[in-house]
Amino acid sequence: MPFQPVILITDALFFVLTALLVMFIIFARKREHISRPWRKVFKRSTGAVSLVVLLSYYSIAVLDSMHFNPRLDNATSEEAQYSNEILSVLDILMTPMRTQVEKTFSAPLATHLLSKEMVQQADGAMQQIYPRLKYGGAHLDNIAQDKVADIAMLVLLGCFYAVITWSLIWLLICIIYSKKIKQSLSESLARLFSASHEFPVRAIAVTTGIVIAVISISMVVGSYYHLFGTDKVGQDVFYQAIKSIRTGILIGTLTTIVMLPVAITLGAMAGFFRGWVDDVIQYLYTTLNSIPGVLLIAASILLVQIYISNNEESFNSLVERADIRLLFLCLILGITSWTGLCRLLRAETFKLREMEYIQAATAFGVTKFRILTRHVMPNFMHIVLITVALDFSGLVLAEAVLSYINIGVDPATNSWGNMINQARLEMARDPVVWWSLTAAFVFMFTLVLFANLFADVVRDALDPRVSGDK
Amino acid sequence: MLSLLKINNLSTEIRLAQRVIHAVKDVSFEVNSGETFALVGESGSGKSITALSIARLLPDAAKITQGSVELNGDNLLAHSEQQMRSVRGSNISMIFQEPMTSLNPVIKIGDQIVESMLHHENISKPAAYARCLDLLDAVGLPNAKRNMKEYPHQLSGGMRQRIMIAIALAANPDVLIADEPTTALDVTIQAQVLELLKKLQSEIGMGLIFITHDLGVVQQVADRIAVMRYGEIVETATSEEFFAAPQHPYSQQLLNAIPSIDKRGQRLSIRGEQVEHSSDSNQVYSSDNEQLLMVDKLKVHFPIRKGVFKLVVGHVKAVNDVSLQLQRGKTLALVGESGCGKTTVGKSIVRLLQITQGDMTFQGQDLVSLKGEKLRTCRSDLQIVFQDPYSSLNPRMLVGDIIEEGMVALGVEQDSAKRKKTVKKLLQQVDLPEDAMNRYPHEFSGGQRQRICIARALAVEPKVIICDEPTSALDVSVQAQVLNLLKDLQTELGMSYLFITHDMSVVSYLADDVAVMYQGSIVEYGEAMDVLQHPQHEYTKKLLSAVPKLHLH
Repeated sequence: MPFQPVILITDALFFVLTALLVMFIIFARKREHISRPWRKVFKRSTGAVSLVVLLSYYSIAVLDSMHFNPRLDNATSEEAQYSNEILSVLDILMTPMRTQVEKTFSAPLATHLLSKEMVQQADGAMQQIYPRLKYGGAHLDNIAQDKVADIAMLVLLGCFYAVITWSLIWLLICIIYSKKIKQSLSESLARLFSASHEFPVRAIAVTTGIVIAVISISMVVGSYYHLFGTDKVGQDVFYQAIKSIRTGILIGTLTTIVMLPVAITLGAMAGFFRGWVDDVIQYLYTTLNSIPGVLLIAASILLVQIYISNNEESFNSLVERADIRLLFLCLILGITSWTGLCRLLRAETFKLREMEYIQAATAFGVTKFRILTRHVMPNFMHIVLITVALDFSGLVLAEAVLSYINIGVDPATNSWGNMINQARLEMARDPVVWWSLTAAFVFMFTLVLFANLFADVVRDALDPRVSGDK
Repeated sequence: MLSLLKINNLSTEIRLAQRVIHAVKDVSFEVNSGETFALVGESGSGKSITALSIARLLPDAAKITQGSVELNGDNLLAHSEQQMRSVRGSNISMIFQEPMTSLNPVIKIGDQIVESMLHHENISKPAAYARCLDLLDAVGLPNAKRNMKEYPHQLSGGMRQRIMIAIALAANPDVLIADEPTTALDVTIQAQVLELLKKLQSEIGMGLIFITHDLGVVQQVADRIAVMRYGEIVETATSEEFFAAPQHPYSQQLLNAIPSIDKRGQRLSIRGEQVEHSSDSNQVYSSDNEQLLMVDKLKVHFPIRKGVFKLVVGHVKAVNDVSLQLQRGKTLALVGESGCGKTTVGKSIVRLLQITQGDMTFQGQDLVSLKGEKLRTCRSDLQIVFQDPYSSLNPRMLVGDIIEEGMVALGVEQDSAKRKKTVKKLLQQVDLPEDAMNRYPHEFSGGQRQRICIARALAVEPKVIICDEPTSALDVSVQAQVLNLLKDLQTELGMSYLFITHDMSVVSYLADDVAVMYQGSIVEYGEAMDVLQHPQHEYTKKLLSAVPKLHLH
């Protein structure tokens, strides 16, 4: 085998979450009352467009979560030997950017380092010059003349790949669609892209086009240049920003699965049983709410750090150590963030338990557990979904803030927060190093913006108070 | 004589995302001054949209597509919005159904009335307040001076509706449109409001368009009547003509669907069904006077808690010393106005509420002390059907699962294939198609949902069903279907009903015995015919005289 798979704990949880998501989709497709509001989400162009963008982020995170140890090229030994280095599928796809490490800072698309260095010339004389980069634009002979034309060519090449990929994907979709509606290919093409189609197909097509173009251009250009420059140790900033996607998505989603069971059970129980159960749960979350979240997070991250340094032998690599810290960050964020949802669900259950269908169920002697699971919970699920969608972007931003004050993820983990934290000092340099901050900002901003847009559409579709048949 | 308000060929459409609803189709009628014109129809017949079209208060999605509305020869549809503002209030006023939401809760009542006066007339503030006082006196508020300085929440529903009338009359309108003004009120208050409207109309001489679904009210107030269905007027006639000999089949059917004392033992007429004259004699189960359910001196008090320690400072005595007996195969009606505690009695019997004191026995078995497993087995004998068919079915469950649930929970039937069969049989029994099993509640209308509720109750083979106002949210023709169904089930299965209602016509049609409740206690209890025809207690007399009676010739 050319590799040995490695499954980190967060990978496993992330895959479980993905599987749950897929199961929910299959489950919902068969149930009209669940799928109807979701169809409304996809019928709005804002919803469909943001979903496409979010899905591209999500698939990058999935690719980056498939970890393995590569096999060492060791002809002498019989047994396969594997490296200790943990790589992901995304790393392989981005190989040139991962491996092309310069000496230190260089600006985006630069061919020379940012600052002058003493270099020994061929004739032995020392000279203060901007040295050429080892990789960035290394193939150019005459930089001043060729650089712009070369980049333009690469962009064109990227566009060419993008057009081919995009056309293939939509041809495939069209063929499947024509099978489904049993029409000729041209007829189904016309129908698919007609303005009156049920779903905003045109908007989706344009968005996928833009996403594919961005990916393919940055892949092509990124193999010859450093798209967002390099950082202090010469690493490609674009590669770091892409690697940070997994961290952001993981914090946004794993925290949710930590928080949901607690919030749902406690919220439903408090609202349904009332009395002392309600009192206990209420005291619990008001107490938790009055402890400053940052304090709690700082304390528990410190604890984890001490635990890790005392038990170093139980971790095989730096990646695993960083992974444990990431997991604990998700856990502690989950513990501090369930109270809001719990409060909402308690209030909703208060309302639901007075509904006549629940009284009817009581009159049938249906057990309390069954009433909670069959009658109460399905009827407040829309609140859960809306909250999850709204909280996601908040959590991504929270990670950045926490890493900035050094109580977030491990400094070795790629994350937007860490990038911003490092960029803080670089901003004071002359000439200013602005690209780390910009790259982190652009990627985070896009994710949070589309997550927010999506959450808005989800709320409009699912909230019975705002969803009128317009 | 020139008519005051003339509506010619009015059509209104409501445009939804997927389709267009023709809410009003080619409607024409006239209203003369001093005349009461009643628009009658069931829900969705377009009567409210007609009223809103006249005052041009339609929601954005609705558009008037043709026709004219002429007030004193002036076409209102040609007016600009600014002109309409002065017409509304000074020429046309409206009263809406819900007195609880039509008043602004944060403005004092006097100020709300004066506001519209100052807007429409050139009148000084003190003069407006003086007139406001007169108006409140005129609508019969007992302490007008104090009421003017009060906020809406300090007044009862009936008083608020009077204030709505006062506001509507503040600018001496030519036409008053009353959209179901008494539907949300109790009968005794309804009677007062109707009397008031009648009196004020004769004083001012305005035209009154009265929109309602209640034919009893119509007969009491209306001079002329128009019956609406599916957006069209099917019949227009004077009140005497209409009640003497309704022309259109739909009008006849509406009149026949109303339960009354004369129709006892008959089926109520439903669309496309002939009235059968079955009598009690072919009843399969003859009642053997077996006492099924006994309630003795039932008390339900809700504690009022106050302060940090939630100490009990007093009790709301919702039910006080109520005693009832229900026999097998009989119907006992529990009658009373809103807030009298009748629903509390019903819920206490099925043990949905904790009772404070008293005895309840079912077939000799003490209900009060039952706990756990024994209580659950007993639940299959006592079932309840609720008032609102929309909130009593879980929207996230299939109808089949809803009906099955009781059987599963009470272990009536373990085998799932047999259960499915029973569900099918039950659906048939309540006259719903078999494939209803695999559909969700939102696909059914109110009447169908109520029948699903009945099927659900029947699934566990109960001996007593407590019907908590099962028809008050339904239209008369749908009510007739549900009442017929209940009657059939009683004949076939020997079911006993405790029928909780405020509607005297249903009581007189269905009940064998009647208990009249007032402020938590029973004031009169006896056989239906006795109580209805020779009421003894003051309250019963008041209640019965307040009910608009339908006299058919």
